[in-house]
Amino acid sequence: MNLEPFISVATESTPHILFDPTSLQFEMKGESRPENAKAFYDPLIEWIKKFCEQSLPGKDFSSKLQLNVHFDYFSSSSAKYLMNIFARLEELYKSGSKIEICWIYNEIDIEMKESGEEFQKLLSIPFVFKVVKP
Amino acid sequence: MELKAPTNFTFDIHQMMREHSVLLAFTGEFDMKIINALITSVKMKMSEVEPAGKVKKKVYNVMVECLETLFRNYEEDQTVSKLINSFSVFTLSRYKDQYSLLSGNYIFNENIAAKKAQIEKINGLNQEGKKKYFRDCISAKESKERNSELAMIDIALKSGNPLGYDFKTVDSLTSFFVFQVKINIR
Repeated sequence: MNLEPFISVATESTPHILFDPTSLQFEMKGESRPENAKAFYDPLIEWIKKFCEQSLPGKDFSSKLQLNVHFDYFSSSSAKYLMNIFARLEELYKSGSKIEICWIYNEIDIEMKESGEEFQKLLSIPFVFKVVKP
Repeated sequence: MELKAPTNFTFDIHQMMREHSVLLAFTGEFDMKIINALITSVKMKMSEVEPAGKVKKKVYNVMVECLETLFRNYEEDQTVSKLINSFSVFTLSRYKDQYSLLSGNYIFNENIAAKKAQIEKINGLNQEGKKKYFRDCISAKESKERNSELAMIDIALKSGNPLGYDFKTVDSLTSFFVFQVKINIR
């Protein structure tokens, strides 16, 4: 796959993002409350579009593609873009690729777990929930 | 209106903030720098006054969304003069068994009915209804109305209490929109 990894270094208001098509290491971690969610997430969505084009139909990855999502906080304006990202990965899943979303939450943050469950209700892609200590 | 002597005015503010157990108050123009500074300040303050991690997290989550909503309201109402917008307000207080987050900003009178209907609709839903509304909003097409609804429903879901509001008439064109979110400590 001739696609460079997508990397975004965490700041106090934006998450660490690493989507590596070679190692299949996909992760988002930290806080997501960018000043302009569209400007922040559009490049990632463009990258996923290319990734999906190169992976469809039903690419059999050497191992399962797991997207690790571990937010301390994400704003409501980020939520719509997350939904867009998950929905694009779902297309790959529906075409036969092995993909799952691992939703990681802090044990004191039940709302974060519930947010993950709301995304899960909207998608057919498998979700795995993992609790961590603060 | 005659202005109070600065010493009296300062003392009055101090007394009022004590009576209302205000932990943080800010008035001015909300931009990302200010929001980040307020968030850092509240993180420090909460670690001093709130032992329960769950409550601390909830207050933090709701506060960030409230501040971002204030910022977005400001961005949307660029036609209201910068002078008026620079008087938006945010306070966080802790009284008895609740935290109270209050924000205030100017709003065009013509937008009051829609804002009121939006809050009333959310207040009329139970927790399951709110979750469904949240799902509808995140999967809907991007629009200014939907984004505003999403922010409100997110705040309501996180707080678990009805949203409070009031509109104070300023003049024939604008009113001051006061928005209150309560978070139970127990």
